[in-house]
Amino acid sequence: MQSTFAPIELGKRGLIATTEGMQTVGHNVSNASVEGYSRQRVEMGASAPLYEPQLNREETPGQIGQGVDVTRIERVKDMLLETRIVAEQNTQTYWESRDKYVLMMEQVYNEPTEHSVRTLMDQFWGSWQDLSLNPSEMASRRSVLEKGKALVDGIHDRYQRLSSVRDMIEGDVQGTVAQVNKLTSDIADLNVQIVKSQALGDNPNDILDRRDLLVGKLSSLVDITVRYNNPTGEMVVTTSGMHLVQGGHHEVIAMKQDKANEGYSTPVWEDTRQNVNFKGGRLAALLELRDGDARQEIQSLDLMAVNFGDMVNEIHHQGFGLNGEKGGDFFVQRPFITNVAGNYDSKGNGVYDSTWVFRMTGANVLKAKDQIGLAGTMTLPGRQGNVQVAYNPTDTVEDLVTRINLSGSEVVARLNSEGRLSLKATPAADTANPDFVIRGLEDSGQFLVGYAGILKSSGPAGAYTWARADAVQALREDGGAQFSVAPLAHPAGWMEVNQKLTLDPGSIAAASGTDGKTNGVGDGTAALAIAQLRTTPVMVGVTSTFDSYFADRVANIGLKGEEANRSVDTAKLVMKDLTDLRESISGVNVDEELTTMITYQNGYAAVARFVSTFDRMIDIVINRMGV
Amino acid sequence: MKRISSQLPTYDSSYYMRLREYDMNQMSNKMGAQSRIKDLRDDPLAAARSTRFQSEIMRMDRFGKNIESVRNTLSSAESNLRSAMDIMQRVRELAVQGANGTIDATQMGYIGEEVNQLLDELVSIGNAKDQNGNFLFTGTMAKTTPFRTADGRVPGGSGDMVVSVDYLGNIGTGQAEISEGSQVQIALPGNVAFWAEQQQIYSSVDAGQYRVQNGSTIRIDGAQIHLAPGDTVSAIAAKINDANVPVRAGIDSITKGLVLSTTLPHQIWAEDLGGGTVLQDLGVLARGGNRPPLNVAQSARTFGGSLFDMVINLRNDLLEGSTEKVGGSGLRGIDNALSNLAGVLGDIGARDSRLETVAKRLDYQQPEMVRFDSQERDLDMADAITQLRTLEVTHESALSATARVINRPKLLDFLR
Repeated sequence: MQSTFAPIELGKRGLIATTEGMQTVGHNVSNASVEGYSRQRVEMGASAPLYEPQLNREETPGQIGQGVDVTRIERVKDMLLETRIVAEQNTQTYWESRDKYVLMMEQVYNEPTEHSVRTLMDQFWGSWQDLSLNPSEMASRRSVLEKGKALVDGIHDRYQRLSSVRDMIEGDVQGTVAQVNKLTSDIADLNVQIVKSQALGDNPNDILDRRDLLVGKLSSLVDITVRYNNPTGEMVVTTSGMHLVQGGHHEVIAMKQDKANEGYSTPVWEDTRQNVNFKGGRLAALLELRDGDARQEIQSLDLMAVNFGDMVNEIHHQGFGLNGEKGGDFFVQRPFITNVAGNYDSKGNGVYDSTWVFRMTGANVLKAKDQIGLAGTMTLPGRQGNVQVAYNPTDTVEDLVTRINLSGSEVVARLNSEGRLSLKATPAADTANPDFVIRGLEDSGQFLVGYAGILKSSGPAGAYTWARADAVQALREDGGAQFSVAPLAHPAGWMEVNQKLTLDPGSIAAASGTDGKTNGVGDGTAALAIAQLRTTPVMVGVTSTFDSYFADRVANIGLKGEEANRSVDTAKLVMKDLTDLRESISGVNVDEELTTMITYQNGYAAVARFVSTFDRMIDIVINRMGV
Repeated sequence: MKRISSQLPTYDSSYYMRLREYDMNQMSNKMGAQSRIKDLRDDPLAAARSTRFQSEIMRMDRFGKNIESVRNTLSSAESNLRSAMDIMQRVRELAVQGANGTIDATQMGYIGEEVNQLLDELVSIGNAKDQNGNFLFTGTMAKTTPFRTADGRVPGGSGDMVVSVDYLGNIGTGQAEISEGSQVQIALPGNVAFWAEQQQIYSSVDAGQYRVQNGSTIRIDGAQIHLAPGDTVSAIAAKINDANVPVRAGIDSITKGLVLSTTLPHQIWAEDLGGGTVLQDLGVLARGGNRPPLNVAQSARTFGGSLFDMVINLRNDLLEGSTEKVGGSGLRGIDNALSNLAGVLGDIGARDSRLETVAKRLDYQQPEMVRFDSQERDLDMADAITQLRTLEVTHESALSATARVINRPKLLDFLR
């Protein structure tokens, strides 16, 4: 039996449904330009009809419809697409961060212009050439000093700019980690709200949108994967296999200062203090730049500065000044420690525990073209672990020097101006190892021992290792091997022209001599020898001369920049395609919304008309029947 | 993608506009800087090549300056030697006059006086300075007067006259780099330029039983010669002959003493190094370690002298009035000195022409290098302008399209 007023009820349901539809249209249009908003759609369905097939149903034919109900309001979103965007996002930000900082480092070079360190060095060599022509003139001597100072200033400036880039990256790392922590905590909070409202059977569309937006932002900082546990729908965000967010819980990333890495901080999990390994996103790019590219730039500048100073000093020591005395240091050397045996207390417990030696020079004068006539294997410290360099009787000294330099060990060899074998340490690839320290030396044969005269005896028993005090006892003593203590960190930051020379330019050693006697004030052969350093193979490893060093560094950083630039463009294009696709699915189209609005408007009018018509019908029964 | 949201056209056009505006900015920056490489990333390899070219150009500049400086020094040396040559010609004329038996002793005395004047002139040429105030003929001593004179009475002469001229400079020549890895001598030591005869040193010590006791080093004309313990005098002579110097060593068949003789006219420059005494033991050098050339042993006999010795001898002969000596040894000595001077001048000429050749090559290579560098990093203006223009045109049309799309009619416009 149907109620008289049932159609009024039905009309009310219709009005409510169309009003809700109308409101959603308004919501969509208002949020059309909100970041991360997905359009919402009202889903309507017919209300449950009278009567369901059951025993107490009215014996009437047919079911009577009861109007419309809003079944749910849902957001239009492709979740699969969302996962792809999260996965791609970190590539773009990774390259963007690289692009930005590599560009900064490129600009440090001032190349190819007339204001680069290379130009200053060219001028420095030129001033020595000038001195070689006019050794007795004070003007040429002052010019050498001034060009030397200008060059040193240029090197300092480049060092400072590079290290300020590194500091800037450090600041960025700190900020990014703070941002990650804030985002994960916000996401965890939203998760709690979402679970609550879903428990009530609601679709919390707007909160979901906000969470998606935060996840998108997080994915630009670190590489993350998002999944939802079945059946609870609990959200799990992981980065390289470790949980970052799980439901309402989030892990905090802390920063640990790393003493071995010059006090720069490393991200660690706050609870376990284990290192966090990021593989993508801005944070990974920043860490890579800070401890990779920027550090390498500084190290390579240090390497150049230390070798440059060392080479010039080596010749300058053998030359003679106007006063007929041997030249001292042209560039000031600052040892890392003043202990003459290179002993250092690295743990700070009052006991010498290591030996920091930068260069070892053999006792014997060798000839580059001589065959060594010995066989054996040298063990040198490498980037990771040790490097073995084997030699055979048919090798020449020159071959072996090249082989050591190309072996990838962190020790390089050359014959110095007297023809003695000189081994020098390079900067260390691993941040745990100090720069410019020879960490070990061993020879199973006699090359380093009897032939070159560096080590006292061969085999493991005679090995040199830095990890103990007084390690230099392994070196040949009797008027033999010489060594020099490791320089203070970052020679590029402190190298200076010797102040004594500024006060007395006459003691710049332009002349060479023999037997402790100068060749005369008009002799400029030592100056010429210094000037010729620029093209003689004095640098270490693959970049043999200063000229190729500069060209190599320019190409290296330029290529990095080119790669970053291109990768940013590619990543942006990929991201644009994906976000366009998302926009196409979830974005609001105003025309579409207006059409829907008109539909609801008409629907509302029609339902209203139905209600008023039925009202008039009931009016007949109530007022006009004359009961 | 069939559905377009209202925001999409805005996103799209701003994305592409950003890209194009960036490109246009890059292009106009490059045009402003006149450089194809604004940042290293624009062409890293070209930038690397360009740094090499620029260093190369600076080096060539330097070589050009070096050559100029050496040529200046050479040309002042040459002009001085030419005046010396002129004076020596005059000396020779006077010698020929003096050798003529028809003049008497008084007239020979007058000629001798004139030769003496010319001698003073020659010594002052030997002590000439270059534009920087350095002595030209003193090796690498620069500030040391190369020729020291000693005055004394000469039979037949009036007043004090120069009786000997000692060389105080050294044999260093200095080096200047004139092109990659190739060097040229700068200085011209006075004991070569102002020399006349081959020099010989005969030691009077019998070296038949001599053995070198300790390994030591001697230096002859700047070349170091290492001697091993047990070396005999003939081994020493062989080592000297093997060294790359214009000095030959031999053993006198009668005295069994070491003999050093030059193969080109110059003064022998012998030293014991590092406290060794081999040449002193052999009686070539005097004990006490004076520096060369004043260290030749008193007991050794030396032959061959400098240009000044020749002129002094001639003057003495003229003052003495000995026609035979003037016409014989005197004239021969002057001729030797003249031919040596001519040789040295020829040598300078050869060196200068080598420098000129290198300078010409540099003049040709340097613009070439500048062109290479320019190819690497300079902007092709025509190309750049075309590209910029193309960008501008596309930008304009894109802007007008954007304006239409963003401002297209909406349903809203038709709703009452």
